[in-house]
Amino acid sequence: MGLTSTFGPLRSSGRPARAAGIVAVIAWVAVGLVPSGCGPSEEQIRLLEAMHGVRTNPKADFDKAVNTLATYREDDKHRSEFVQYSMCEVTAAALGGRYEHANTVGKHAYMAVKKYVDAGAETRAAWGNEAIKFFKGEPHERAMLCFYIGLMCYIEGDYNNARIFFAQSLHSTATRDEDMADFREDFRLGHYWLGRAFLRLGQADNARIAFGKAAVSRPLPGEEKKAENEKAARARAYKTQLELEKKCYEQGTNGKSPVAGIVDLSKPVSREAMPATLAGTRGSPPVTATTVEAFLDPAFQQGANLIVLLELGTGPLKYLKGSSGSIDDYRCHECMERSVDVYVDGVRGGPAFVLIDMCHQAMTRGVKTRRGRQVGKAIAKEILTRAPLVGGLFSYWDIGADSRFWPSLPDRVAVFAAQVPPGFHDLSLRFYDINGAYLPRFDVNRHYIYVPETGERIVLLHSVENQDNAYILAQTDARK
Amino acid sequence: MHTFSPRQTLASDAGPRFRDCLPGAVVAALFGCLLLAGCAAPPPPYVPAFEQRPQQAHCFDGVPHLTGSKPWVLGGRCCCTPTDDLMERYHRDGVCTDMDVADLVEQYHAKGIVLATDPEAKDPRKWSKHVVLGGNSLVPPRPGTRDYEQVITGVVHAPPVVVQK
Repeated sequence: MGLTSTFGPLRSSGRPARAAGIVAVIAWVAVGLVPSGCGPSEEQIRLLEAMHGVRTNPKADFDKAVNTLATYREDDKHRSEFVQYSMCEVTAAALGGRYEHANTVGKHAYMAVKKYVDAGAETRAAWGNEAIKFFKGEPHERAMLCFYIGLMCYIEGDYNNARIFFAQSLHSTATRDEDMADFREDFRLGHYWLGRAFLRLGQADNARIAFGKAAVSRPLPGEEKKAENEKAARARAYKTQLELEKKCYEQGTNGKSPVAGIVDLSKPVSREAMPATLAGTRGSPPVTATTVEAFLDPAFQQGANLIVLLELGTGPLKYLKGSSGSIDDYRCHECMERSVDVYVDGVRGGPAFVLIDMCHQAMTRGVKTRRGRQVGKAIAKEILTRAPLVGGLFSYWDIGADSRFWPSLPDRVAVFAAQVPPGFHDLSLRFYDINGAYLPRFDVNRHYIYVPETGERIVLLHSVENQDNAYILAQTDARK
Repeated sequence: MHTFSPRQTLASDAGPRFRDCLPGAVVAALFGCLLLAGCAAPPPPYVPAFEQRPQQAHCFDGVPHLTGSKPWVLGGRCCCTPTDDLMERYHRDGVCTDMDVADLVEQYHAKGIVLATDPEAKDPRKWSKHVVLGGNSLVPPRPGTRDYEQVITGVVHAPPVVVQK
């Protein structure tokens, strides 16, 4: 009896129609559940906000994020993710200005990375799902962890520990894989801050060597072509963006409820057309550097007493690919803001120099060893699942790669340094896209930054769209 | 006309099927065009947070003391941690002349305010926001953070308070 004849009588008896009806009802209920309450829980949303939102939300609550992540970090159920939650907590605490806490949490995580060993889990992960092992982060993540700890030590005036951790950041990022051997020394941010720590410790020769290494940029082959494509795509997007800004302004001025103080952002402005002074200028031009060479001159760095560390965008995203999700890879976020000019007291001081591109770092740490293992497992599984009799068993073999990563890393980190008289200063940041088009929604203005009589002032800032938009800041959050 | 050609049969069958699909295809194409070309919502209105430089409203550890200002706990604008040097400044300005450091610290503690010198200050989970922002902490904010901007200028862009009737 063939299939057709089997189904024939059933169809005529009406049972399949009823069955189909039941299936349809179940499907509709399932579809209805998704929007109406079967989505992520409040707890999951809170965790997501703490891990990802701190860098993208203009109204991020850093203290709440620290509390949430600390709870997860201390929970024994999540022991394998201790370092991951700690890393995210370091970001939240650093962006929120809780430097001591970031330092403490970062050091605990660093110790866990160095000391924690679970040989059994490591072996099981090598043969099966890699996510069961204790998370220690990728080389660029460990390097950033060490960098943040070093920075917190530096801000607290603990220059010797700062030097140690900046040096550790360089060790962490130096891959052992031969496929990316050329990029072992390219953690320029670590070299720069190591140079500053050496200066504070009175080791001028070491500082000069470190600044020299910070000057060396190693682009990946094909990066220029990629940049050209990005420029073309961004130029099209910018045109659309200006049209939408025009619509926004029209609605905000002529709509049912006009917005007081709304500004028209629909006019294209290039970096070259930006004014040398802003409205309400009240200072003289600061001593700054306009080229990377001048910026990394030890004599200039020695005299610089206002250092602005700028984190731009959101770092790369880790994802799984291949059959059974057996291979991990990174994808870059398309961050609009690519460069920034810093105004001190309303006078253009100059550009902040991008010293690290996190996506470049993630892509160039070398995956030869790991990739060999992952591909080997994938091929073995493909072959074994086709084996007669026992093939079905091997389909249950979980060979998933590890998708855990540090989601709140920045895309790029830039540094601005200036020599200014002690006292209060105002900082204004103006961001530009890859084509040098001004992005007014990213404006950051900070007032009364106090530069002490002796020593220096380190200011940590990050870019978020609408960060200084009073309209957004005054909006009630939809979710509490 | 009758024909045995399978091609003809297929062609005549394809006509009505294509017509059946046409409305759906048009709707899908319209949706696609809308999504690609002009269905993006405009961004929210942009209102700059500061038209001009705001006045300094408060002082705290790490910035110079505002001359003549009273301690926060007594209704003033000074959020500095009480120290011997600070008490000297107060006395010189004719403020809190009948108090010493211990008295002032006691006043803060009596109101449940955590000082930067208190052991609880080391763990941000044990205190809330700065007193200026409605919290219970006198731990000074860090330059560059939103808290710093709000505390030093006293300008807080907060949602309007909705009064429940």
